[in-house]
Amino acid sequence: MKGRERQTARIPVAAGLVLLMIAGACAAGHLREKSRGTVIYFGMNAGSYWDVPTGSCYEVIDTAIRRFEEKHPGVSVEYTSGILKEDYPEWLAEQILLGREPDVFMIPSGELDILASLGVLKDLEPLMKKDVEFDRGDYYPAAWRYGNIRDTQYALPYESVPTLMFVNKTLLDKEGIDMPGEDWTWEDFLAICRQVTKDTDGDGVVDQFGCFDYGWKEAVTSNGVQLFEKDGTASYFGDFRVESAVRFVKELNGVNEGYVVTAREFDQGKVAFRPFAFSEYRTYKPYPWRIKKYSDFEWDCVKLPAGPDGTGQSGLDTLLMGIGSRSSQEKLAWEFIKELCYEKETQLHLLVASQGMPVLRDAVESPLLKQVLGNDIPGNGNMDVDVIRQVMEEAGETPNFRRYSSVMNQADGEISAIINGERSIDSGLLKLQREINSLLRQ
Amino acid sequence: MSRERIITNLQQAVYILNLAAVCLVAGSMAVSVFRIVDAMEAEKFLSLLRVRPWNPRTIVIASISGYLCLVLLSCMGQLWEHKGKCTRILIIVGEMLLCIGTTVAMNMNYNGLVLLVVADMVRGQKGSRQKLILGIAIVGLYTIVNYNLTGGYFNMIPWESFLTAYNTSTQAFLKGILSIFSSMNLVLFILYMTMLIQGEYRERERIQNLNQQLEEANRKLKEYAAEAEKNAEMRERNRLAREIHDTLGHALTGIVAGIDASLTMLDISPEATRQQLVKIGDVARQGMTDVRRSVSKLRPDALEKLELEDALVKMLKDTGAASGAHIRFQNRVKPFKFQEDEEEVIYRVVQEATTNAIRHGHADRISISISKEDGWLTIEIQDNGIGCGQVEEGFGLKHMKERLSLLDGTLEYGGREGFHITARIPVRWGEERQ
Repeated sequence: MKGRERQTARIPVAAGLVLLMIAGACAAGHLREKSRGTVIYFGMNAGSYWDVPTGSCYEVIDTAIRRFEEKHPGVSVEYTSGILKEDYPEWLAEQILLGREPDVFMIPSGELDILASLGVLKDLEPLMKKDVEFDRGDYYPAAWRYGNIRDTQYALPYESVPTLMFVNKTLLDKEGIDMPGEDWTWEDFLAICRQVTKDTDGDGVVDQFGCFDYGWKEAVTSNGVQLFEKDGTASYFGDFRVESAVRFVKELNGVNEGYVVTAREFDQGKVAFRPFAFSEYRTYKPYPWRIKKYSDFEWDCVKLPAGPDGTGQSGLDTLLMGIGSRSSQEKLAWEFIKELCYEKETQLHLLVASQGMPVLRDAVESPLLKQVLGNDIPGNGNMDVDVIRQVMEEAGETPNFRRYSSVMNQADGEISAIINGERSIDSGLLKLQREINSLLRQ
Repeated sequence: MSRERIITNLQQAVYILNLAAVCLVAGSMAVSVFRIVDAMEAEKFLSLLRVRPWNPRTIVIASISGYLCLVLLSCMGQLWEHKGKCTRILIIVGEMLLCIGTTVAMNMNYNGLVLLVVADMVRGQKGSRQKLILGIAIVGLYTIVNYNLTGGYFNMIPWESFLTAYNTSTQAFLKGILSIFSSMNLVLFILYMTMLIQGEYRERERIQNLNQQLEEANRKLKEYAAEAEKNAEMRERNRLAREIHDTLGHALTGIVAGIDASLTMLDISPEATRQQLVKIGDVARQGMTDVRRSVSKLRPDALEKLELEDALVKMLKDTGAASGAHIRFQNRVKPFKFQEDEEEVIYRVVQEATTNAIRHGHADRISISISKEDGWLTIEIQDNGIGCGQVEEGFGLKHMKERLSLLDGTLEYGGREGFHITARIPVRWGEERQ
């Protein structure tokens, strides 16, 4: 009996020893972590988020960090530099798997839903509720809603890029056409395109075109349609406004008589219009990049033309920042994300040092915008600041549900076929809506 | 090998086997994560999941520590088997929580730990109500930790997702090993349960056996007692018969023979007849003496040797000396001489009452007085003991009553402060001997 008891006691003693060792190791790790002081980890990619060349991608962030560290003595913010934008999603996923995701990080484009449903992102609602200074109404609605999944705010917008319409002023001048106004419509757009599409050198081949890269998506947005239910459970491709947008694009493509306009012709100044991201405008308009591209002609940007049922809304691409749900420094992380996304100084700095638009109304409406846009642009080219503000205010919501990009790919294929005349418009769109809806319900 | 030894060994095998399974599942999950990160497939892997997996280090540490705690608790449960119901319930609840925790840490990819807890639960259970609770607990526990039932609800990540980090043959190998572990665990569990149930069955059988033996012994004892009583009765009857034969029979035979002779001689010689009658008288007297002696063998010793008063005084003195009680005896009846049966009853009543006062009343002062009034002899016994409100008539009181009723006497008793007994006997004064 004694032998048995000794034998039975051997196992718990061994188990206890191993447990003690594990506890010791954990405690040592914890102490080492603690000895480093309070550190907020920040995750961001190098280079521009907007795929344009940039010289100082860390400038705004570094300044914000300095300001934050001054406000919170004893706290330091660290980030890993040099992660390219294309590597950033993988880097973030790795950090998440290894349990080392940053406290505050940029959310890779289109991944908000995945990260939120995986439970990686902290629900910001309680933090916002506690923070009396914070008012969500300070943000432009489209930018704000982009960080919202199923009525829960998981991320704050940091920087937005609206889509504008690039106008080749030299070409229009040559044809004796005025710059389109703020309230131009599809008809105006189509009329100009018809007018400029011609054979200029008389070789029998059309070599001057109305527009490049203007597709059904731009048309749909500028006609004021939301293609999807916000939570991604239903689509509205059968809407009459979508139908009129597709009909319009088909008509527009018809102007070129089957010729497919390429980027080369656009770069050579043979195309009058092209949808253009604000970031590109900010990059190529000022020196030094202005000599790299589009230097042979005068150009500027205007609002997208409005469809019969819309006001010429444009899509808004927004860079989001989120807080890791495992962050041990919830309060500091919130303060830091606010420093980036809610601090007017940071947002104003974006105007100077970045290529996007601030997401705070206060920042966009400051006189700095006019000054910056004016300074940037030597010569006569000068964009109307009010247009930018209007575009930001009216911008259509970009869906952010998980399957958005795959669903849009499928829709793109189908609608291209419709535009090419392979299918009838109304029945084709209804069929597409049915297909997409059944896909979304899966 | 003894049964206990086998059970101990089985238990150890279960502990080690489950440790191996926990290490395999948690380890493979952690290694998978590292492999996925090394292969730069983290984004793809995450996009296939519905929930972010735990940090690989946390998975390993939580699974193994949780399991070791479970083992620790299980061993403690065995060592403290006799510490009472509360400890047992606490340990079982702790084991269940640890089992759920560890299984969740492994994303419910191994649920063999339930068997370990179930074995511990079954080992100490008693009673049918506990059996019901136990059954519910087992079903509940199994349901909670079963991936197919609740894994989806708890957002667990199936092992297969982690295994995608390995090539097909490694996947098959790992799955094979885990399935071997699971099967072996099940086999060991069944063996263990069989041993446990067998042991319980044997124990029950042994107890049943012992019970039977006890019943048999009891029955025999009763028989012996009845027989002994019968024997004693028989012996007494024989003695009485012998006594009657030797004394009364002898005397009566002599008397009958003498009377017959006297009848014959009456007319011939009245003198001889007279002498004969004197002889017959002697024989009858002798017979009476003999009968008296026989009967006196049933009387108290003291009464045999002493007069009633002396006998009482001696008995009370002895009792007082033995118990330390102060006994006052007052007799107002002179002369103090009665019929034998009456004397015996008086003696016995005083003796019983005194004994009761000391034994039940814890009295240290007892006063006894005997008086005569209107042909009734009254014995009063008063003590200073605890007395009692509600008297429960015991054997002693009942006996006294019975003895008194044989002489048409009465008995009254009661009293809260001390106990008071009054016995009254209608003495046959007329037959009183001078």
